[in-house]
Amino acid sequence: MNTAEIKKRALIFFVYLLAVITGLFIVFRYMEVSSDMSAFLPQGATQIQKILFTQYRQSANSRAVMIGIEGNDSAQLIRINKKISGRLKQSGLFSAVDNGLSSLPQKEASFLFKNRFILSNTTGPKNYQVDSLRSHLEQRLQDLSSALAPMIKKTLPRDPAGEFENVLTSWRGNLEIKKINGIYFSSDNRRSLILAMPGASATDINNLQKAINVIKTAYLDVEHTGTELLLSGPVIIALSASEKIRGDVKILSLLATIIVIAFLYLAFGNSKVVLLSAVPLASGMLAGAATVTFFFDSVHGITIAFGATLIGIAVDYPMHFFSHLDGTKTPEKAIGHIWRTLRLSVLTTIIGFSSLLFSGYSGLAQLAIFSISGIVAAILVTRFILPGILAASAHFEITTPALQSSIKNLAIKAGQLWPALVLLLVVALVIQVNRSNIFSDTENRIWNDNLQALSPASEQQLLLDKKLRNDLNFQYSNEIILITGVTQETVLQSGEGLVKELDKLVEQGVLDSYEAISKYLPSKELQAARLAQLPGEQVLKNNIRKAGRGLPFRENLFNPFLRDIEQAKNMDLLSLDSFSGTLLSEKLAPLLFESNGKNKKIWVAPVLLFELKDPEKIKLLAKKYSGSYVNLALETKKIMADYRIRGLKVFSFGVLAIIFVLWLGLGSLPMAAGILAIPFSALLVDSAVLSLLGIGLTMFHLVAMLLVAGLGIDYALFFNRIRSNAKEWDTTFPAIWKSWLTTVLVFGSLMISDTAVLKALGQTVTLGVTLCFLFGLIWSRRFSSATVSR
Amino acid sequence: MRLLILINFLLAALFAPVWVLAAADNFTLDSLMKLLASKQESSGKFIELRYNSLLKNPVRITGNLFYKKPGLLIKENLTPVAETLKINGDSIEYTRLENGKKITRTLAIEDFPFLKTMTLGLRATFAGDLNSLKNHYKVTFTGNRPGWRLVLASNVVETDPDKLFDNIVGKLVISGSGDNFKKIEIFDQENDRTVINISPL
Repeated sequence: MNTAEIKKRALIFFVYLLAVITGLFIVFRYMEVSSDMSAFLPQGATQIQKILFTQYRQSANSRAVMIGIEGNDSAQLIRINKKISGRLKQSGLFSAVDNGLSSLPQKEASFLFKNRFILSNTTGPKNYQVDSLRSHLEQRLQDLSSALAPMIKKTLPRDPAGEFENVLTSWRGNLEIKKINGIYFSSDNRRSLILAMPGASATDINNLQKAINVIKTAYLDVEHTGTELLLSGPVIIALSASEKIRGDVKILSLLATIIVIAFLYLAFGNSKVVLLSAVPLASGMLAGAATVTFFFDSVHGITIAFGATLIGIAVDYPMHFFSHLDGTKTPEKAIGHIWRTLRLSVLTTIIGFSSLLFSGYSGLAQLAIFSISGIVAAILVTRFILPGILAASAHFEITTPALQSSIKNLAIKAGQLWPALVLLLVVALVIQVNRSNIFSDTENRIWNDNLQALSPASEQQLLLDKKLRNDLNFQYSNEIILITGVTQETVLQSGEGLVKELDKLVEQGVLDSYEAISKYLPSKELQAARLAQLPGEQVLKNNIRKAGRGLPFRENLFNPFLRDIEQAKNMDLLSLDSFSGTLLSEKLAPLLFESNGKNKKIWVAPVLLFELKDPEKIKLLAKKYSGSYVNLALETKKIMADYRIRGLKVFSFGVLAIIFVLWLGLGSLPMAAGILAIPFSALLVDSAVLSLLGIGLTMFHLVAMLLVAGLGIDYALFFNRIRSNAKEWDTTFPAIWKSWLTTVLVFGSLMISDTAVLKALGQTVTLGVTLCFLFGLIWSRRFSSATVSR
Repeated sequence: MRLLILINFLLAALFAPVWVLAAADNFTLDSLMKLLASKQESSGKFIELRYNSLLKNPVRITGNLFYKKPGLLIKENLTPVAETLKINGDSIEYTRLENGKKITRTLAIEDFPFLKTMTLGLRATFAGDLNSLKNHYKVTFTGNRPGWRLVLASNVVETDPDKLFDNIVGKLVISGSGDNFKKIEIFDQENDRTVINISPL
């Protein structure tokens, strides 16, 4: 080795070292891991879709935590319930804690009382005529003889016509839940219940986690023998799922690491190889993390997990390199020998991964940048750093285990298996083409477009969720009418018209019930009309006097009422903002909000429909009030399908680009097509098998398939070398089967997990790469142009 | 001087029987509580007069009262409006006619401070539970076995004078003879008064 070469090598090492230090600095100094799932949820293409996602994030429903304390002794359950509720209120982490006992807090009640004439739908001239007032006064007299008399003593002189009670009725909810001693209970008395609303927003994972921990410690701190704490709600499901995934990943990756190290040691018989093969992978991870940190505010946890998966391809690069160190070439020569093929493999992989950039999910774009920069780093390290390290060390030898020759002997015969391959392909093709006949009519099983499928909740958890939801009468509405308009006022006015007709439909049994802003906040037009209808002071005074004739109410008792009505006439009208700072706004926010339209802001009021039996009637009605009827389940499915179609389009452009690159690299279009055919057929069979297993494909499967395609092209390119040069059987073939086996060991271990996401990754990749390996092998033997010596 | 001593002596002699009697009876708050605690259940009919600052005349209510150890208290109004208030432990069941239908509502005692203070006082007295009574009230006892009187002044002081929707008990005055209740008077903090006269069924 001459001095110029040594100098050059030293320079390269220096640059590498500098890059590693920079990378480490960026990662440890600036990297922030976020766990906000919304980056991986589609943002929605149409206006309605965007609104739906805004509503989802704002809605209290996406934050609510349902708490159940299960046991046999209801007295004990009540005790525990009260203690927990008290602790939650004290913690300040919850904006509302409702276990049945809590009445409307003073501040909120005063607000409603003050605005009762505006808010009550009984306000009107009829309510203040003598007849009507007379019956109100008689009712109040009865109230005074009831046990609840102390409750109304203070408000009676100001509200003889009962407007406040009327307002309260619409704000109180949940009257149907069973109570024991005032505490919510399940109908079988087995569970006492609390509905808690964390103050943190639905995406603030850290504070949500804190809030959940308060619940758990509160439970553990009280005497709770013989009882069980049940928690559910979207927040709980998301948190426990990510906890479980993290736990699974920890154990499984440890397991996989041990297996892979053992395997590498067995396969190469050299501990240095084991160590060195990790260098490109580790460098790739560091480069990926540093690049994403550099370009984005925070790195998503999922990006790291999936990115690490995709960069897993980089394990193959040193494998190819080491296998060509057969003692006849210097390390520098050996890498040079396979560089063209390796370069082509890397290039196609990068093209494949870059299709993620255009998928429309910001999360996936981040993933693409992470994996591409990782792959680039890994290949550069394999090409320029590893040979240098090996050249510097004097003794380097890889042993060829006995196993290797028997595998080779087996593999050489693989060409005879080609009829089986053709058969497999034909069957898969038949399944793919006739899938609508093979699988049930209702669902064409290839894609699972349910958003649910992306939420990694276990079956058991969903059952618990349903149980508590039933207990608490807390329902999700799958069907809504979206009323939109330019101003808050127009939306409220349309809503008022709509609600009147909905009331009729509820009576007819078309739907069970509904929830709408108009139940709580009247339009300004209606508010003004109500105030304008308030009677003059003198008229009202006379009416009250006449109505009170013969009743024992004290003289002038209702002067405060007269005064309140006079004051109300000049009252400020209410808008959404008037409620801010009160708990009442929690209820209103998801029912009326502003949304960013294409070039202007619009106001949106979702009307939630429960137990709708006849959507057709609703559709017509919605149109009449400038609203549109949306079935959330269908709409989310549509969104997912749109994204998938868009994704497939991008992928097919990617495929074209890959063919072009392969064509350039190999100098032959048919050969390029042949190479691509291998991962393509493997994925065809892979997805057919998944469908037969009843597994619908999700975004997670797509990511997995991308990895399979990358590995498949890599295998095919190297099989192509074997095809034309028999000598390669002793160098290239071991590299291919070793990298295949490594991948199978890593992803096979994921199949043990019962978390849907990890299992999906494990199944798809393990099956996919195995098919790629077999197809590549058979193809290379069938169309071999060289004879192989044993 | 001598005269004074004489008068003193005479007075002492005059009142001696009372002292002796009182000493013999020796009926204290403790003995009242023991007496009441030994009673398993009691019932009676009542006439209630509610003096309310909102009204010119008091509201007159009649009905029946029933108590059973340890915590069941039922007040059944017959006139002018039929309604039943059933207090059992911490839960209140309140039944009344609304638009011709019998409606039962379950209320949580915590939501109704007035009912809560009243209930706690009555229940502890009925049960002869002095500790619980002292937790919530300043207790003053006067009288003797044939005629006793308990004044229970609430420890709870309303801190929010603008509070709209409730009103708490200021004072309970309960009087009776032996283990029978004769009269219950409830004063709210504005001194509005409810008088419940109880007689055997």
